[in-house]
Amino acid sequence: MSGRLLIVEDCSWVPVDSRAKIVGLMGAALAVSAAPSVVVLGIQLGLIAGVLLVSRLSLKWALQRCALVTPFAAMMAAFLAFERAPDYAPSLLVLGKAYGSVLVLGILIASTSVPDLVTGLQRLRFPAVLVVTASFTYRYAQLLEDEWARMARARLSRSGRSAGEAAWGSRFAALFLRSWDRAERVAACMAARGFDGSMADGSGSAFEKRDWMFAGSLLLVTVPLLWRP
Amino acid sequence: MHIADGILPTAWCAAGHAVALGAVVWLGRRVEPWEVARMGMMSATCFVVSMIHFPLLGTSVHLGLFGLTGILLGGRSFPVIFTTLLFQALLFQHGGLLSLGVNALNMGVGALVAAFVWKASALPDSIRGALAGFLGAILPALLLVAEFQAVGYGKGFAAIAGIYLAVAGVEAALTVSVISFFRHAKPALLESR
Repeated sequence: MSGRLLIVEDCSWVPVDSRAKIVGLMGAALAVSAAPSVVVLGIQLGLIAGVLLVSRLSLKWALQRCALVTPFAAMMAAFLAFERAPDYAPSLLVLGKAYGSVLVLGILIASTSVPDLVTGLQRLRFPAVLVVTASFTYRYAQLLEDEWARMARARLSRSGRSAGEAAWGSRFAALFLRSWDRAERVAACMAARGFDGSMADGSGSAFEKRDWMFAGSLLLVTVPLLWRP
Repeated sequence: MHIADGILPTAWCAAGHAVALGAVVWLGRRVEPWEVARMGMMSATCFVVSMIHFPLLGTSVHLGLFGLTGILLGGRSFPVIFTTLLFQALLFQHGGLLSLGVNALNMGVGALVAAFVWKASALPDSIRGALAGFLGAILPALLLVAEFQAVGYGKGFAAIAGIYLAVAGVEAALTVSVISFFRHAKPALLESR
């Protein structure tokens, strides 16, 4: 059971520093979000499609990521269409930006493991409290999943059926308390080993030429913003 | 309730990030090692719970536990919610990275108000727990509606807030149930912040 929760499509095609991926892909997402017209956005989406092709991520994967954001983006686009009719360009922009951003984020998470991502955030000097909480979140999400499965097995072995909906509050609280106690024990062990509330930076690799090139090539998505008709 | 990227103007997103990261640093200052484990645990809980969707009034919603987070962690709830939203944006496309700051402010305000209600009120546990759970869920929805109106998506969006009245009701009931359980099983948890 362990780890099933956080598995995403593996795509280790980019052997570059996670900082380069974060900066490059965040820059690309920002550029897509700032697209002033449908034409500029179209060029940017074309560049992102190129990155997707190079990444060898499947079309099915891309469509699944887009499907996740479709209900919300489509609803916002529909509201805008009613509000600004007959000018439908703002609706198209909202849809295109949402899809562009979701694909860029998808590439980031498909090419970077969560621990690498957390290390990247740390080395980019994100607030320490954020980095350490993110690290613990990743660890405890899997712990919670395990604990939930254990409780479900115990319940079924006792009664052979699942509890009613009325018991959800108590079940959730019991799960939370068990996990909370385990988290406290983990914290106590870490404190005994000298943990002071901050994460040690285990990987001390320098930013190399290929990292600069990778981040720079992703930031090409910002170039269409300079285009003026 | 999560705003995806591309919905709000870039300037709004930048401002949201600036304010939210400032709040993360301010409310997460001088964090003790034992607090880190609790914050991680709460963030993981919010993250896992948010994956459980249930149908409501023709749409699909999930709980956020902002009220409960505020009750258990006080001001530390803000960095926790920011982290939870970061994971949701990265792994499940619930909200975007650029709109993360605005989303964190919307939901963090709900948690902070819930923390205030829990701490400042002398009402019985069940009433202040219900209030905290309800406000923790409804305030983010109201802020979201206000933002959409300000940006120009029209007033039609206000109807969506009605759905969140029902979600807030469920959150209030769950918060009371969980608080009641904690009061009997581990009361220290409710007094620690």
